[in-house]
Amino acid sequence: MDRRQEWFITMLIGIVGVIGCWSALQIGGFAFDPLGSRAVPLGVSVLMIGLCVVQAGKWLLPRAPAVSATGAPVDIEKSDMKEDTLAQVGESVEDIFEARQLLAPLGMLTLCLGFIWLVFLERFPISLVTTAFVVVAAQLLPMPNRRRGTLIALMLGVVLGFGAEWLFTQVFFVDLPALG
Amino acid sequence: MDGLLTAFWFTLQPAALGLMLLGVSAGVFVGAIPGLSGTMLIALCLPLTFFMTPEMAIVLLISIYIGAISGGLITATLLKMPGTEAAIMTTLDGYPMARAGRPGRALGLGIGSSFVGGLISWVALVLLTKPLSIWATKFTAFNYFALIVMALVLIAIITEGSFLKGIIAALLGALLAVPGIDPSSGTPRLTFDLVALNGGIDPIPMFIGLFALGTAFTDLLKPKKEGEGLSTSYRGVIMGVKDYLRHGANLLRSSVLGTWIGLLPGVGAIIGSMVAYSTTKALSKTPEKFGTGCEAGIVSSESANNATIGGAMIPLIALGLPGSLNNVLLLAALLIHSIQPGPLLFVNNPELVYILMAAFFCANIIMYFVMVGSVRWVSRISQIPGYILFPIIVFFCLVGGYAYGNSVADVWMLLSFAVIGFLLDLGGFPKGPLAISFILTPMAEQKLRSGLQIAGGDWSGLYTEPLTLIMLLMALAMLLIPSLGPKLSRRRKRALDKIGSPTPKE
Amino acid sequence: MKYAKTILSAAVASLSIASASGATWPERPVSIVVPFKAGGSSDLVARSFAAAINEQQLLSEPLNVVNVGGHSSVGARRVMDAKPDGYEFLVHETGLIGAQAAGITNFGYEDFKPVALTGENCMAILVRKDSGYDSLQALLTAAADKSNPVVFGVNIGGLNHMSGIMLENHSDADFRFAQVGGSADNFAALTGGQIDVASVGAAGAKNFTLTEDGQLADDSQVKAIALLDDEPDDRLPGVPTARSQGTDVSFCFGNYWLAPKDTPDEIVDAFADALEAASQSDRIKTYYDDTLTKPIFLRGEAFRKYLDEQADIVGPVARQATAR
Repeated sequence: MDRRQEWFITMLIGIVGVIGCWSALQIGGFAFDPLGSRAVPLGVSVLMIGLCVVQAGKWLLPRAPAVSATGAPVDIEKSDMKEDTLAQVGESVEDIFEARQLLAPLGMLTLCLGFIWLVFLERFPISLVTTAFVVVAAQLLPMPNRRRGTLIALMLGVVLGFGAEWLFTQVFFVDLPALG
Repeated sequence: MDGLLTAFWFTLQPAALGLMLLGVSAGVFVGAIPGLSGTMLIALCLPLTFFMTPEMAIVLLISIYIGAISGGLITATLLKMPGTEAAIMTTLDGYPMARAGRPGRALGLGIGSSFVGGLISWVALVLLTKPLSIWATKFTAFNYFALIVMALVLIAIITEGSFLKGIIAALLGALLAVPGIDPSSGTPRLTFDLVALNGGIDPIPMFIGLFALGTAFTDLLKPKKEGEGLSTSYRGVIMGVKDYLRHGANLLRSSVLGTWIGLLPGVGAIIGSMVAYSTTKALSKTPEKFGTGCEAGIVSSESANNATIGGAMIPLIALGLPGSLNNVLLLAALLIHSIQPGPLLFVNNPELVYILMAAFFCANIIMYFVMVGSVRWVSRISQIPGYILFPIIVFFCLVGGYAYGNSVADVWMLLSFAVIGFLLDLGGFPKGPLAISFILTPMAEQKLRSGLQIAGGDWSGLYTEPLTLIMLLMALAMLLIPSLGPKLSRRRKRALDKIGSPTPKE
Repeated sequence: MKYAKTILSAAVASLSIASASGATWPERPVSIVVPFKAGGSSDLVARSFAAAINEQQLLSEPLNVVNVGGHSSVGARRVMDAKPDGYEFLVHETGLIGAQAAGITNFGYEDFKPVALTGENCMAILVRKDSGYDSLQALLTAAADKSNPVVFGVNIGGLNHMSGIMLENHSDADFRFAQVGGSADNFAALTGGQIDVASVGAAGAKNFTLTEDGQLADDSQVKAIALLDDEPDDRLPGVPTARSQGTDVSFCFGNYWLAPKDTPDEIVDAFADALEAASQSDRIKTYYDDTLTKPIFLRGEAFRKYLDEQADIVGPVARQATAR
């Protein structure tokens, strides 16, 4: 899982490099500018593609012995994050954790998009949307006591929502989406 | 001198003092909350200053500025979420030290060093404004270019884990900074015909997205984080005389470096703390300890980034040239009152210059007491359960991202960078190099091209001018040293493994 | 008694700007979008006028200034796409015309409804005191000699770049333009001797070279040698116009107030009334003097004609500035 993730993300960065390279090639030159607008984006993206290929190639090659004489891991590509959790959570929980790891942020991201969309729809006051957002967001996270947690989240949401609305409209002027 | 005393008298009046306390506290608060930035708060307060006297406006904005740069160290240390760019370097040693059960000590070192850094740069501001500002105007485009290249090479130092991945992340940052109107040619590039991209990607939403929201996605959603909370030992919150003496040389050197680099408009706090950190590391007898919770690391990063504030104030006062985003806003507040900073500010409005200096000094002292006083309370932040902390941070990120520029595009940008940050974490790519390269590469490109335009396409300035040549050679040397032996990087990796391991005590 | 009351209320109604048009606008605060970060010249225009209108209650609801970050086309685009209901206005300057001509944006001033022009700022030319260029003529002659290039610090495609190109178009001069940035950046670069000449707004020229009582400041390393205006400005004493020095260049940028294209005429008129009344206030008069703005007020058809004329002058120059 770990290596596949890394490989996938390296590929994604490589694709960004290809897009950058392709768009950089369409930049023209200027009479008054000796270096031109193209040199830096083109150079950066070509270098990026090259290094991504090297990085991806490293994983395709058979791995070296995992542990060196001193006991320090040789594979310096191993992600920090994984080390952080694996030892503690233990193998059995790993699968659940991996699924969660992707699902929860995805849910949260969707929630953020929904929040922004609702606010800019300008149908509902931002205070209520915020309250709802905080309560729903809290549900996505583990709580020791769900009922109590939801109650705290509700209170928090009300304070945040109305507080922010008051602060931004009465004290500072922020062009918050108003009900028109 | 008389003028300065009068100004001190003014700032010690209850009204000004109260405003300073308010400004510093608000600054520390937004600096400490991931998602809210000092720049945003200053931008929001700007319209308020329209209804104040120019003196009060200066007092308020300076206090927020100092509070925010200092407040950034709290979350950098406790949550590994730097509240400001300037605090990126503080995460390197502050977070490991806090994880090792000494959050109080880590914060105390940071606060004390911030204080000293601010004071040393204040001395430079009061005594050397004129000569230093003249020196700053002599810094040519090629000089800037060489300095920024040097800082870019320093990225290698803050790269955690694989060196190759660090470079890939830095290149990605450089590429993401390209879209927008290219200042050196006045035409758009890589904007894909989107008007929203004409202005490029603003560093503030980028930063909030990458570090605050992105880190929140990765960290706070991990199921096993509660109960694992930091030990709450607040011993060592106040740096003793002994500490100041022990770190004396480091404090002085880092503050002077920070002031010097802060002087150069646009270069800012981040390069200041990077250069100070790496200099301290290079001079240290135990460089391998850096990045594992080393006291000297926190001290040099924090003293340097606060010293850049005073440094950046020098070109602002003397030339009307704002060195950072915060200074742009400070300048705006003065312009609104039709006060034009520049060489004539000393002639036309000397009293304002003195008030700025006095406010800078007093706000620093207030900052120290506010920070020390609130540390006990603020550091509980790491014990707040995820289901409460996460919605708050996300909400502040989204609202803060919008309030900063009144632009929905900024919010989308912020979310995109949160996703990028999350993916990078997933793939084990470091985010620090991306952020730093995002800020520095366009600057380097622009300075190089300006230099070439001034020279009419003649590259020889890069190697005939001594200062430029020296800095470029130093950059080359720094680039080559890490790749000299894998031995060095393995040692560093081992040190990193130690921080990565979940056991809080070693 | 009843009669008197009717007269009174009629008089009040005709005085009150909002109800003069018969409409109830504005019913809520009005946003003034400034497509620049706070502190620029357009921001000052917007904030000064908003303060004047709010102070004197020329409109029944307050005006709020909204700074939109990024390139100026981002904020302009926002107003262009806004609901044409009179709650979003744009403050912009000549750069709007330049950006369209240079192909940076695919929209321009024709895509808005012009409200008013509230003033003009003219550009000036700065050189170092020790440069030996005592007049514009001396500078242009020196710049004509290609063997010894004169470096002109500009913001490529910006107003200061355009004034340089206009000077080139009206003389034999051939400057070497280099990207430096805005007024303050150019001033610093000039002070440090990195560039030979720069162009800044008249206000900048005053702030960088003259003391408050109009004397040439000893603390400054630079001086203004020409004002790109038809007439000399007595607020900038001792600086002759380019025209009086034999170069027929005049370049001033206007402060535009624009509305979304389909905004009703009554609202645009009511807003222009408020702006016109505000332009007579003491606050705005002080503002005009501080920023060396020419107190010109145009609205309606006159403003539209002005915009067309500006487009004819600025358009070709803007294209030249970013020519490939």
